[in-house]
Amino acid sequence: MEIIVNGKLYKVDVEKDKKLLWVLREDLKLTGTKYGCGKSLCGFCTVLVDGVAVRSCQITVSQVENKPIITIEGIPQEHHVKKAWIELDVPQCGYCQAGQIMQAVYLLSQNKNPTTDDIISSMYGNLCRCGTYQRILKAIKLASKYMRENNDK
Amino acid sequence: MISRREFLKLSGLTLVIALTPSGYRILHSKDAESFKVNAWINIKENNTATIYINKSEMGQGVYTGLTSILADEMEFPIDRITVKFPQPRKPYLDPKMNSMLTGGSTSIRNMFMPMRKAGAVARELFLEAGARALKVKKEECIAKDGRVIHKPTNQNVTYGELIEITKKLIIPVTVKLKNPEDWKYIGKSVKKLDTEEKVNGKALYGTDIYIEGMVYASVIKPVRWGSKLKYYSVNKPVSTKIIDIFPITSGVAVCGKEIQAVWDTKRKIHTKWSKSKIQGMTHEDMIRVCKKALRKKGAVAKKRGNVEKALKTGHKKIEAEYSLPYLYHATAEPLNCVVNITEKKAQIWIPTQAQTNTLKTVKRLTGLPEENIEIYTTFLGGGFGRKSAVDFVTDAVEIAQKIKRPIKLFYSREDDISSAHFRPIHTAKIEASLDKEGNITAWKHRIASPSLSEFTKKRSYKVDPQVVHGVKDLPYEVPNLLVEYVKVDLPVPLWYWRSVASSHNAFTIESFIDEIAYHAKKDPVEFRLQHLFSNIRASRVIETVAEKANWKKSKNGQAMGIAYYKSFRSHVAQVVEVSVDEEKKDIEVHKVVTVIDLGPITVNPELVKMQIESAVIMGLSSAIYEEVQFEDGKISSTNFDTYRLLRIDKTPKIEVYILNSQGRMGGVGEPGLPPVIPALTNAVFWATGKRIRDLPLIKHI
Ligand code: FES
Ligand code: FES
Repeated sequence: MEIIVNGKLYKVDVEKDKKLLWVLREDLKLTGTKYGCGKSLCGFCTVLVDGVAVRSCQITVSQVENKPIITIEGIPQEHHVKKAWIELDVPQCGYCQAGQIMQAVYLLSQNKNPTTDDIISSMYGNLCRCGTYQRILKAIKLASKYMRENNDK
Repeated sequence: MISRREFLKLSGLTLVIALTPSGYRILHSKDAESFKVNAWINIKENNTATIYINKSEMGQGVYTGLTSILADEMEFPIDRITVKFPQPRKPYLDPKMNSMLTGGSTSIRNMFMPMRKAGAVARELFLEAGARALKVKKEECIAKDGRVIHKPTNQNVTYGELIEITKKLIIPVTVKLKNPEDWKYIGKSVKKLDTEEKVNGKALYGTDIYIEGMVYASVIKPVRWGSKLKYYSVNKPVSTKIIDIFPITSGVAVCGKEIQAVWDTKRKIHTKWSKSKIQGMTHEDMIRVCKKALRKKGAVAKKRGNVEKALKTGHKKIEAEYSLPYLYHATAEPLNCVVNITEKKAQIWIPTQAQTNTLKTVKRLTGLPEENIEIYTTFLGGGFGRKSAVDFVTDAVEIAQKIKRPIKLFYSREDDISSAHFRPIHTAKIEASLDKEGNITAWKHRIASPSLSEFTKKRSYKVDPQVVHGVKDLPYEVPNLLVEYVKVDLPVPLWYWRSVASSHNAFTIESFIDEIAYHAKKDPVEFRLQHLFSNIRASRVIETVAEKANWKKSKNGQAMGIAYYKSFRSHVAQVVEVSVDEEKKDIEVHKVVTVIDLGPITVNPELVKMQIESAVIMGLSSAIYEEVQFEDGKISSTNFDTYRLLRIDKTPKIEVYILNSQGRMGGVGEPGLPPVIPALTNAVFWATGKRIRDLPLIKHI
């Protein structure tokens, strides 16, 4: 099977129903994407498929064949969201943060100027046991400001 | 006076020393381009350094905190430093614990001086070398930003360029530490050194380690704790990805080529276990068992005056019973580790808080000498105490030995919960009497709970010192005090959970003092202060938080609650502001204001704030939602749907204020958690008139 991750084509020799999360981690060794629940309850495994945030623990590799997949490793450090995250030192243990960032990137791609309520409803599925929520809220607002200032996506 | 050799030992300087005609000299290190100043610092010609820190990074920020302490004394730019975790051997053991262990909110407190000294030794050494290289007087030189600068001429040279000279120098025996007013990093909000790698998905956790030939494993734990495996059978066919299924000490191990196959196969294994005494019980039944034990007289933990008499003769008597459930740590990263054992050597990559205990466990199980065992510490995706246990190390080593291949033990979320090691359930009955002026004359506090120490220390106590901690030294000044402990036998494994018994005792004490204030018709802030008259630090945090939060009790569904608690040597007072919509059964936490007095030094104010923010969220989460549920003695909480955590929608505005005072340094990681729980439930009372005595709160609104 062939999948396109962060703009690169990978050939993987796995069963069709293997979950994308485990293909990324076990086969491609792209370990930035994390496991937390396996049931769409934590959001740690969030990636973008065709530009949409999805839980990679729920989707099989055959469902994403030929669709562009972006993982945390594929978001440049100069991206507004990462810049804001670094500026506010959001991560604590960091384990949930790839998922948070991917979800935030998706949110801002849909809504350049989200309100607090918009952020909460988009980020609700992403748990953080370290409790970095207040900084996540601020970071998304900051990233949104960076984006608007730069007038781009 | 100590000898030079002893000094080197004490200060962790592991250089090889040779006697030459000119005195002691350092032998050349093999690597010409780098130089090991001491056990903690390795410097390279390009003027970059690697430093070793002996505490695990689990989100609390030691990676940055300890590094900035050392870099400050060393006069070295922090952005030219790479941080590594050492092997758990001397000289890297925490001198106060004689162990490589991260816990008890002690990392900065215990390592503050050793890190400063290590850095200062390097600074002095480079100063001496710099003066020689520049052929000037040492007194005319200063060390700054990794350079030695000759003040009068501004000539300068980097530490890295001085390596060759430094190697020939005598390590200074006495080093002068910098004056606090010259600190560059200590006391400043230095940015976190691990943020970038965490934001880029590059930080390596235990789960991210892959080694050649590795297979995956997990374990079926007892269906009910307190029982032994009788037999198991496998429903065939199993996936071709499965390599082996076999019993180990703690249950049944499954090994395979893909982790999902391992987890899925566990469902196909039928296990039978011996009877457990909790068979048939729910979590509520277990609380009932504890509450029943509250009627018995307990072992005396503390006695002052005559409580019984004072209770009888008091003007007014108040009593209440409280309960708190078992809690799960719910670290974001489930338990895991990678183990590679060969005939001569064992290696383990592990997100652990307890490297020394990991080493001892591997040694005991493999029989290998310590020097043939390597423990590699990864980042921890959360710890909160859970990763100081070594139950999962035992599992992993047993499996690797049996299967004779490198393995990654990786618990699924469900496995992680089923491995228990919970915060204990806890019940308490408190009685107090008031005199006519509204002063507390007696406080009788009885706790009934399983014994935490029995699990953590593997020995039994009449009075579990960890359970009564904080009640025995009740901060409120009462003439008659009696503290009793009744041990309850329940086989569910217990472990340290962020702040240990403080999350229980802060809740019961601070709820009850609020109840008494209400009965005494006094303001909760004033009433506390009235009973803390000689405790200046406690009074100050309470007064400050009242001022910062604009303290007022209001009604009609919206109110503030306050609580105070001292733990890990830090004093914390918190005010929580809530509104409760009883019709919608909804609670909104608007704001939490925290004041912490952490002693004389705030190493990094922003990191302290982050830890308080984290503790506030975890405390609120536990108070509102968390409870490990049991049905028929089986843990029925299995994942985040049945073990609910606080999410972003319930995040309040969090304000933190830091106070300093004389005395010893206090901890930061845990003390922010205990008082937020009663501050919340007290706020709910002032808003609704409803006292929450049994957590979690979600059951009552
Ligand atoms: S692991 Fe996919 S949502 Fe939790
Ligand atoms: S940073 Fe640790 S779980 Fe979010």
